[in-house]
Amino acid sequence: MMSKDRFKWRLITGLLAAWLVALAAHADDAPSVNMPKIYGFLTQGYFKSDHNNYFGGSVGAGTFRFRELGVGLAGNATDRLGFSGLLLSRRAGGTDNGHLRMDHVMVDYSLMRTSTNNLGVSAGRLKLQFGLYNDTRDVAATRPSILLPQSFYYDNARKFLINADAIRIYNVHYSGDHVQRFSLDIGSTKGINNPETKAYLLGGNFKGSLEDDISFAARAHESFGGGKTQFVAMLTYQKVHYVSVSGDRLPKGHVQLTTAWLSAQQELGKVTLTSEVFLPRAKYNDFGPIIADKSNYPLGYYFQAAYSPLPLLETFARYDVAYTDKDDRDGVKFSAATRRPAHAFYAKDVTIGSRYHVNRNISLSGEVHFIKGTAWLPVVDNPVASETKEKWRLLAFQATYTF
Amino acid sequence: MQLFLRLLHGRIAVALLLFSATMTVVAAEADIFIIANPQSEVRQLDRAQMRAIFSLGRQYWPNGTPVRVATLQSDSPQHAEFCQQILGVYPHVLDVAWTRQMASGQAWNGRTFTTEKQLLEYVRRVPGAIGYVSSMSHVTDDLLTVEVPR
Repeated sequence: MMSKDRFKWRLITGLLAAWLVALAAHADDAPSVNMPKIYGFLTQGYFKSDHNNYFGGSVGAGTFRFRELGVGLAGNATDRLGFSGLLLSRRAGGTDNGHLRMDHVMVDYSLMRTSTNNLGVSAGRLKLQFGLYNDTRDVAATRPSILLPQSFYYDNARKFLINADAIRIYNVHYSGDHVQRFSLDIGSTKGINNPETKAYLLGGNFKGSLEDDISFAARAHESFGGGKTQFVAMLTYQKVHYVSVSGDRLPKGHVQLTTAWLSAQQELGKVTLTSEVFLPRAKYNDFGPIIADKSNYPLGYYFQAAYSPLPLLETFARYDVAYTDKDDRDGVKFSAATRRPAHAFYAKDVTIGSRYHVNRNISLSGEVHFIKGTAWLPVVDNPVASETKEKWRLLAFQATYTF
Repeated sequence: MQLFLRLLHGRIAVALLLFSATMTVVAAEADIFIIANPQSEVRQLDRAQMRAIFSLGRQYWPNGTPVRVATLQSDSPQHAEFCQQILGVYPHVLDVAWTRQMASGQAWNGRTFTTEKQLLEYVRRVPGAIGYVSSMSHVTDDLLTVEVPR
């Protein structure tokens, strides 16, 4: 059987070969139009906290174990057929090891065009498009801050929310400065069987494995004024199976995740206001006495104001709130049930930060977080929950090179 | 009363100063002309439509021809002038929009050029292309000039 890596590289080689053949066929008509675009980025971060570790040993001298490196390619084989791919290496403390992987690789075909609509289909390994930032969350230049608001872009859950082997049917409607995009994704999410996802979904790193079923996502994106006003709404459904092994405390069962992701952004001159809300329901079935059949309702939201006082300088302030269950906001019930501290079930984060664009390729960012609670603290960087502190501060710096 | 008059004079002086500064800014604005390939069939666009197009948000012209966006390098003075005068954004905002569209696999129909001559040649040659120049001296009749009401 062909290994996943070999399949991945054959897919990339195949796409490149298809593009070269198509390019040769169009050699006489404006070849530079069909030249693929190559882009890339390198990001190095530094994190320091007074308590609790984030992306490695941030307590004490701090940690440089945050690095992102990516090279992407995008182009058109014909007027209607496009392709796009991004190779990514990400190192983030104990949560990501820096191994090279395909962030996304896809082909896109425009099925039908009218004067105001484009109906198309994309297939391959696609990025999930929740919120304003998930589909480019590892490209530092596109993030408003070093760390995305964790209530919405929870890094511990990123591995199973990052991409999917899927088919996407979409329609884009143009009307003056208004662009409306609807899409429907059907596929299987990747990266679901890992300790962070098990801890996130099951509350512990059990011996068995997680397997994804077919997932669905429906999304609407409205953009007015050429992008000054934006709304995104997405509804996702995932069914995750837990397969137990011999000697496992937890019997096999499944979790149904239904999530609404809502986002709004308004630009007012030099000020941009953003808010996003994460509204999931996690329904647990057939796990026996360890996880009773029940539904949990986590909640996450944030408000952010960004201000650009000068052409090369951006600043922002943000208030970000996450609850493991909206009906247990002080974490007392979950603490009694799990023997983990109550502060492990909520997090309130006030962040201020800025970014300076040194030139068109290089930017420098800094931000400070004042946090109460550890709901989104990486478990692998803090294995003993009782040693975590409720109130902590996190300082982060980042240098990014983009080409 | 004298104090009031002094204050009034002061305010008039400040107002005049601000007015003259505004005039200076207007006078200092460099000319920017929007040009397009005839196959785009576009004659007029408002600023919000320009922003949708130059952020790579709009992929096709109403006649179905793909939109091809051409700009100068983002650190060039003409590009800064274009971004602020026509689109009302800082150049880095447009850079981020391009990176976001490309890295999410949604759009990559933008090209940057180091000289206006190269940009002009691209717009002339590529169906559906749109760009800008700071002088009309090399713009020939085979290109469309797009009006952007201020």
